[in-house]
Amino acid sequence: MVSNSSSKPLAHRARVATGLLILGGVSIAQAQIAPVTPADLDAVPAGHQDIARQLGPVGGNLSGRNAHDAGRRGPGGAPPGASGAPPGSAPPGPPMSSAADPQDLRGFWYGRGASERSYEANERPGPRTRSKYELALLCLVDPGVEPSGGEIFQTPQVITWLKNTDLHARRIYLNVDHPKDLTPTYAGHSIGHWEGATLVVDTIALQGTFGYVGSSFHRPGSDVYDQVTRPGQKLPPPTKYFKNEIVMATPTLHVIERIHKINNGTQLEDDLSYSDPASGMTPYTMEAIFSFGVAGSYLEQFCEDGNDRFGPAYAEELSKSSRK
Amino acid sequence: MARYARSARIIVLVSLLLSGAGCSSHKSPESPPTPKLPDLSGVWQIAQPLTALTSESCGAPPLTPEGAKIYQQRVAASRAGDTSWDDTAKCKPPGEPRTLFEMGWPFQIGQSPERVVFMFQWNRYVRVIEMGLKLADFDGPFFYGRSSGAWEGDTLVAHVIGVREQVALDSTGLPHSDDMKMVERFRLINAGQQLEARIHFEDPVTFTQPWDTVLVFNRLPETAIVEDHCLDRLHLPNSYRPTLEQRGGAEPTATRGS
Repeated sequence: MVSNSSSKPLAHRARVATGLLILGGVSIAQAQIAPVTPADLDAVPAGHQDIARQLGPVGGNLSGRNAHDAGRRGPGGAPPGASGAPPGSAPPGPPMSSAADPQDLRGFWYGRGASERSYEANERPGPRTRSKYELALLCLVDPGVEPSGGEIFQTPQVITWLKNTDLHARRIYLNVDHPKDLTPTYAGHSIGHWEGATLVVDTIALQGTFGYVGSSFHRPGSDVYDQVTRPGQKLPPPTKYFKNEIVMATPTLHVIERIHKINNGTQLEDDLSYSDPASGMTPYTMEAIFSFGVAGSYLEQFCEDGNDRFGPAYAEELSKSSRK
Repeated sequence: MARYARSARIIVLVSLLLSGAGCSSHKSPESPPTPKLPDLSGVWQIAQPLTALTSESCGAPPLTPEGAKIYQQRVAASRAGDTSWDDTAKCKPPGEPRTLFEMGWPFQIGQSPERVVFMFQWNRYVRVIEMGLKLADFDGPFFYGRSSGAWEGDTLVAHVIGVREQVALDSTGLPHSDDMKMVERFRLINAGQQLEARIHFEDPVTFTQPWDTVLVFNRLPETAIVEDHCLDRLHLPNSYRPTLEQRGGAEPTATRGS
């Protein structure tokens, strides 16, 4: 494994492979896959719930809205993950003969990354802040450095990662410096360069919140947390920047990633290291693993279309409350 | 185990939803985006600020009485400060083809053998042309409809159906019906420094005859797109907002008369 994270102090380390989500040795593939329930839908972003209902049981036949894709797939051409195999498991198809080129990341990479949101991060009492949950409701979350699978487009100047998370694009500009006087954004500003087979990505100028600490997977006391946290590792001590167990970006938040292919090019590993001197966060590392696959046609789904109730009035109210 | 099962359902469900899980012809990541085909990849911006689409042959789009009625209502409402007809005021997608030129903001094209993706600066919206997609059994509508692409020589031809009726075709409120069909023809011109989009509209409910419009886009540097969150831009004070200069163009000014 090409990684620099193992040599750094580890406060927490989560290994997630999409579709074959490994949590302390328990994989999603082994878990019981049951039909979607109303409770499950509550965890799905509002804009996606109508689609979820049409999809019906997860792991079943992707008919309905996707029926028009069937012709392109050919007879019986159910997509990988739609007929039992979870998305992200090794898809069928011709061998990746060109996987030998480590600096070509083009293709579709399945993966939910290490930051699986639970949308429960705001359930605990605490100082009111614009948590990731609230931001998500306001459609203000940008995947940015948050690991998420998706399609990668690549040119000599920029690597564009079309994240599955609400279909937003992340851009990594190659072989350039950060501009001066950057205005913080949700995605930040990412630059990258190749160190042999590894793409080293440097991201600064971030704003907003990040749910790495606050997700249910990482919450102390949860069974999942216990399994993904290595013995002896502890989360960073709570500070004012960790309200509601949410990492809030400060102007000094700095994220370094080392992205490289593994397993003969069939998987992509993203080793992330977060540090933020202002918040006292020492390098906080995790890794996300994505599996190469193929994608059917995209379903249009936009957060803003499912959030009429979170219109301007709500945004204004939230804006006021978050500034108290 | 129950918790794992529920988590599994959620993860798989969301993954399916967000990944558009499916399969088609497998392409290795090493494969170039279809050899000998034009590469539309890059960042593009409408060459001339545009708010109202015009017909290449007859100026104003040939509206039917029904179409003209809707259009005049929208124009009158806008003049009175009422933008309730315009879902973009709620940060919903401007849709196709309006996002191509809305506010003069740029967009990025990503191209693979299986799809051509338009990644707009406008609220980071994404529109996808799926190559070879069969449009039968379509169950839209969507903001950007469903687009099936094919290469005809140097031209990417996209057949588009199912654009939501609520989506105005331009910033002044040009209407259409759910039955509208578009054929978009994209090709590089001027040694690849410009992108031409010739768009053909057919909608007997709204237009008396099919009509075409031609849009031209300039190639911009890869770094030209800046982050935009519409709700943040419109409603949250002191938040990030691109400057006019960063948008790379003037505010829309032209309007089509009622």
